[in-house]
Amino acid sequence: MHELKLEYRNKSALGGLFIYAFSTVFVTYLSVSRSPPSDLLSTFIWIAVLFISINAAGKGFLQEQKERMLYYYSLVKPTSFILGKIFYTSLLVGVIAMLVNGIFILLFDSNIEAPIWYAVALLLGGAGFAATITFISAIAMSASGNFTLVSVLSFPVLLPFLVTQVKFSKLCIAGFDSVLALKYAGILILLNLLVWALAYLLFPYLWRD
Amino acid sequence: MKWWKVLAIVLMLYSIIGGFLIDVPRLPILHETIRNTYFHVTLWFAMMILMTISIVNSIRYLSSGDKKHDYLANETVNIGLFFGVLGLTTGMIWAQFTWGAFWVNDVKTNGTAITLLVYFAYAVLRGSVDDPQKKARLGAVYSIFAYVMLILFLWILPRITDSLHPGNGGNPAFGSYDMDNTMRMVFYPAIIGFFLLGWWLVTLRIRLKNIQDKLVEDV
Repeated sequence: MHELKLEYRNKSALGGLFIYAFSTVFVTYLSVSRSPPSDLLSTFIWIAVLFISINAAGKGFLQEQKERMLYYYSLVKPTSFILGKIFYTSLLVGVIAMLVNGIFILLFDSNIEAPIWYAVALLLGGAGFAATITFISAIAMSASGNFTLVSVLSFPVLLPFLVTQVKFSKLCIAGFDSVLALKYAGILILLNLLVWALAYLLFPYLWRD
Repeated sequence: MKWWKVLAIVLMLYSIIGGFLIDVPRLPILHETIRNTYFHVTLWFAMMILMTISIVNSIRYLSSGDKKHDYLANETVNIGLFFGVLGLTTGMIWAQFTWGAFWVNDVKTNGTAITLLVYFAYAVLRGSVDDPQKKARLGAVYSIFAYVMLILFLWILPRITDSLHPGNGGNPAFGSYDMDNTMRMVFYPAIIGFFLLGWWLVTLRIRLKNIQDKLVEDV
């Protein structure tokens, strides 16, 4: 809850995020003249979401000041701290993903065959992105406070999410098949559980600095 | 020289000479390239053993904070990465002769590339921290992450999707029933040989690090 207020306070940063998302999508739209087939569309969407999320959420830990971290340290348990952070980041990535998807679909005028499943894909993928990026950003913060480290460390780890996500969304846009959809949803849920559990178990070791 | 180092030399010599000279079964597509089993596949086995030692020691480091475990975890990853790159190279050369291209969009090949990327990122992470204790702790945390990715990409994903690799999707295989007993006689010793060689390299690098530590302490 507290994170929400904190971020809402720098509204300009949030506004910047919206503009960033819009311009990324618009550049893609201008470069691709015709409406892309479903596999390309979902690739475009999720690569855009990936980059914007890393930029927005990767700073989650870097922008905390040392003194404030110390204050949190005396206040809450590390596990509840990381879970709160991940929840907040999930919300942020969810907003980014919805925004990017909305603009893409509006501009390219595409139809989604299975909108409910599409929303499920978006939710699960967004939560996975958020958990991974938050945790990696915690590692990068204690390493050097260097932002490039976040992208170097998180890209390979995010790949399983990205690949499943792209296939899942493609399936929802055209040629829907509920058996395959269930399989992809299952994979995403498993990956999510894995990353959340790892973050939950390992964060206490990153905490004392 | 310790007995297992002698064993490593003997087994390596045996698997190189035997691997090139002993008769192999003739299988469609594979033909003589089946000899790559002795090097490519065994390298992956050795890498898996090294990476497993690494994660065990990472976990031990997190619970003990002992420098010894960190060195072991780090050096096994370094040598494992070296084996991984060799495994990828031998695989690519082999693929050129059987599949007709150095890189084919195959689930195992791509998974390996990603796994190696994760472990290279681990090396970058360690390189970017100066404080040795912090380096060890962050490295241990990330290497647990990396190992989970490795299991995911090299063990789980290839089993739920189809691969071009021999033994998958109806291709002639190195695996269970296509490998005859003469092949096994070289294959298993080669795994042990590569692992012992890797272990030797690991111990050498750890000794080097210990000497460097001592030099720093004396100054």
